Amino acid sequence: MATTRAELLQGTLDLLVLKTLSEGPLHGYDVARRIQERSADVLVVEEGSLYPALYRMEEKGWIASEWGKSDNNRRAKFYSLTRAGRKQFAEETKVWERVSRAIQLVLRPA
Amino acid sequence: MKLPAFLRKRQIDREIDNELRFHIERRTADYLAAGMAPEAAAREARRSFGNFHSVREQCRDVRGASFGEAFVQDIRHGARGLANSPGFTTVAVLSLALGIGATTTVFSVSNAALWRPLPVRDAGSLFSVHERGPQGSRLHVVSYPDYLDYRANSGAFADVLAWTEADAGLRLDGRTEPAYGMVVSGNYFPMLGVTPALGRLLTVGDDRTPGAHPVAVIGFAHWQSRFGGDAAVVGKTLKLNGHTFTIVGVAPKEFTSTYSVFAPAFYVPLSMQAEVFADPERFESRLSRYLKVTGRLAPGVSRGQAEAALTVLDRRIDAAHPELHTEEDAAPAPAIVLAPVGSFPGDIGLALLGVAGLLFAIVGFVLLIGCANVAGMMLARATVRRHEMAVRLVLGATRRRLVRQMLTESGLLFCIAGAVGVVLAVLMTRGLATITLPADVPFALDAKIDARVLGFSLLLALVTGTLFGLAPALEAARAELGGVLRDAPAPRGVRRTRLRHAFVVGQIALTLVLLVGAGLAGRALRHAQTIYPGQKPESVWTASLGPGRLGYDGARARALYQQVAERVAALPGVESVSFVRHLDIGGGYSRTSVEVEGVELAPECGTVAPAYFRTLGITLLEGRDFAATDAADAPMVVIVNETFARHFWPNAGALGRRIGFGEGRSAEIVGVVENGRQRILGEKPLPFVYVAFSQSSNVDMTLVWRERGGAPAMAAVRSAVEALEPDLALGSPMSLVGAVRQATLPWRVAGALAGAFGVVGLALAVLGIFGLVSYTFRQRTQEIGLRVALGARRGDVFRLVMIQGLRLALTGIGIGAALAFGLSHALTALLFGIGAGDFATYASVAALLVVVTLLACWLPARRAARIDPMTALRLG
Repeated sequence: MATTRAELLQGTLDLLVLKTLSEGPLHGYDVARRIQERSADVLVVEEGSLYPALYRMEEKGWIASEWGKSDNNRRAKFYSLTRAGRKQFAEETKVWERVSRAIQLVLRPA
Repeated sequence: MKLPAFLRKRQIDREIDNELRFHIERRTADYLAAGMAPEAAAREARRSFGNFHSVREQCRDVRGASFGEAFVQDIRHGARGLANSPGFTTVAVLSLALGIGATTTVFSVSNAALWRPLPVRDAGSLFSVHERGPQGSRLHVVSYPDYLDYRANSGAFADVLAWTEADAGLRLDGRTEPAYGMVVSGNYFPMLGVTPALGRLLTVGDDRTPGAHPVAVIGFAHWQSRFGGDAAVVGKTLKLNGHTFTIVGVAPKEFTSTYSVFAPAFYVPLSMQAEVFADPERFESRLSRYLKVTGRLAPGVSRGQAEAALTVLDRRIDAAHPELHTEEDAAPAPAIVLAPVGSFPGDIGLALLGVAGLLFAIVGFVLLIGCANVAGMMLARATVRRHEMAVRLVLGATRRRLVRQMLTESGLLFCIAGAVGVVLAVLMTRGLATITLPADVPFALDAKIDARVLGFSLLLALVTGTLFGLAPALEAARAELGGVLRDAPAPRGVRRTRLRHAFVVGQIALTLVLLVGAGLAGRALRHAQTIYPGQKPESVWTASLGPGRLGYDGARARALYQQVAERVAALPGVESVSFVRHLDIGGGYSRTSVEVEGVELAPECGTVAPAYFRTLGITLLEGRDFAATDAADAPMVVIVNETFARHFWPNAGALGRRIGFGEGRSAEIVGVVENGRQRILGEKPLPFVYVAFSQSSNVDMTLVWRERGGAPAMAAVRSAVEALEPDLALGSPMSLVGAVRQATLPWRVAGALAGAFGVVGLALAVLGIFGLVSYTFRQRTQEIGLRVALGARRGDVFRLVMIQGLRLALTGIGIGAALAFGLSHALTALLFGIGAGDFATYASVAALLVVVTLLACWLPARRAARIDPMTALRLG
């Protein structure tokens, strides 16, 4: 069961992170918080699982990171979207829209 | 290397910790701000974060992978992967190790002969003097007075050394044996900066007064073999060509001469050359040119300037000595070329490179076959591991990382194979060292595995590992995420199979080339074994005698030979005895220009004593043999072979005719003998003229005798000769069969190599075909099940599999045959007249490959034919 959820979340989580970062650099905590706020707290993820995803996306070159000062003047790691990340975001958005349209079609009462 | 990686790891861990802690602290702060109690806020923040340690581990996995430690991880992973499939690993390592080992052996031999720098002082400024010849450069030889001029007037060199080879009878402890040494100028060792292993080396002081310095230095290898490495050798005396020399020292092990493959038994100073060569004129005559020269460039002089200066010097010497030229030979002295010391002149260098190239081609084929085999196996493994790869992709590994990991694995495999290969190479070079080359010149091929050789093998392993690991690695990493659930899309499967087909076809083609090579070499060899000049060669023995070195002139030599012949003939078990100038197996007889009935001809020419034909078993067809009455002052007589006689007098009647030898000399034909099979490239017997030894000016001859059987007479012959002339060595004593075996050694070695490697290649190719066919049909199990379910007969399925294998084999055979044909055409000269297009060899090799392919397909085909349709379909 657990793996199923992880797999389902795989693509979605990436997409959500990309979307969040497309609006400007954020540190990990703010990324998590914003996703929760936007989804009206429906998508409550174990917050920790965000970080491996961030590291992986950085490894893939979609996002870049930089240490800086947070709003309360603490050292924090900020993530921003790279050009490859923007492309990936556009692509994944398209895929997502197609999939969700398809699902809606299937679910629409006959 | 270790410390920075360790530090980086620490730093990465710290950063991850900081980041994750920052998150929890911020969350706690937010909860606090929302009005939670501090303890509850902290607990809640940790809870909502999830398992801190697990998250940290995951982050570290992703991050750590991009740094040096990923490499260690990859290696560990690769090692585990290899250890998990010991069968694959063993076969792969062995097939590669053979190729790498063989290639390393060839490299280490070539390295020793051609590329390894000489162990001399400042080799960079030492240059050997060559001259520009019609076929590239060649050694420039000068006379002793010329050498003195080089030292005095060249201006090009700060110092010049000279050397030449000396062939001598070396008498020690009452036994005389032939030895090949060097006569060197006094500055030879000082200039090269060589230090002795024992005693002292020759110095300038040993080269002052002609005849006054009877001292000798012994070569290291000779010291070991003849003196058993005895330190008491210094101060002992030995005799060279009858003259007593005192041993003053032993040359070091690492230095033999300026050509490292030439390992002289002794070194004596030029001041003693009259004694060693039995030729007192050498100090004065500019006509005998035999010294090789090497100089150290004078400071500030460039190589080009030195070449120009020496060319001018040579022409000046020429101009000052008009007696050096006959009227026809008025060409100016050739231009001088300087070559780095130790490098072979163009003509010899090219020949050696050719041999090295041939050997590299043979072992390169083996290596390629091995590589193709392993690549094919890895490709199959990649397919099997698609699932594993897909899982790892899901877990966050990047494709680049997967490719790198697969490459690390193949690199690891190739490196292990490289290590095993080096061990094989060590064994092979040791084996090579025990082979004595069929030459009087002492070759010392110190094919040791040095840093250069190791570097070569490592590079070879890495390059082949990367090249042949790349395709399987890319295939593996192409795994789709969906691959976890589904099979990979069909087109990729086809592509992958096609790649494996290419590998198998390539293997078959290369194997065919090797086997055809072995077959041709084998046939050529069998042909070469039949080149005995006469009958029953196993009873004929030979040994060369060189009384010329002891100062014998023609008359004295003839008297000596007369006595030797009498004594040897008197030995029990000796049937007949005679002499011949050169018992050259495989051609290389001297040619002479003759004029017959107004027609000029250059037949091959041999100088023989009476009873030569009887001794070798060559039938006298007409006339008579040479006799004692054919003395130097008697009318000149010759014997010709059948071909010669038929050429001019097709209907017999050659006896009594005359042959002109120029300068008004002519000889009467007194006998006709059958054509001997003298030549290796004996497509057609060539005209041959035999001259009587007693009427020639030859001094050095080869003794031949025929034995009746029983105990060999060699020892008795040796004592008989020694009793007559103690300082005369018996050169290359052996039977005629042995002489032929020696003369054909290169072909025997080439044939054995190609044959052995051909068999290895064949085994590898069989494995490759078997693997491929079983694999593709395992993939097609469902399809076959369907066919059977739809009514295909088992025989059809069987045929399907066999035909696929056969198609691969035939493609490979076609390509290989074309390749072999092209290659062997380039090598026709080596094949003793066996045509490169020798159909029988090709046909049998092709048939062998077809049979082997069918065998390799048989098992998978039977398995495929037995597929139960129900099981097969359910599998899907």
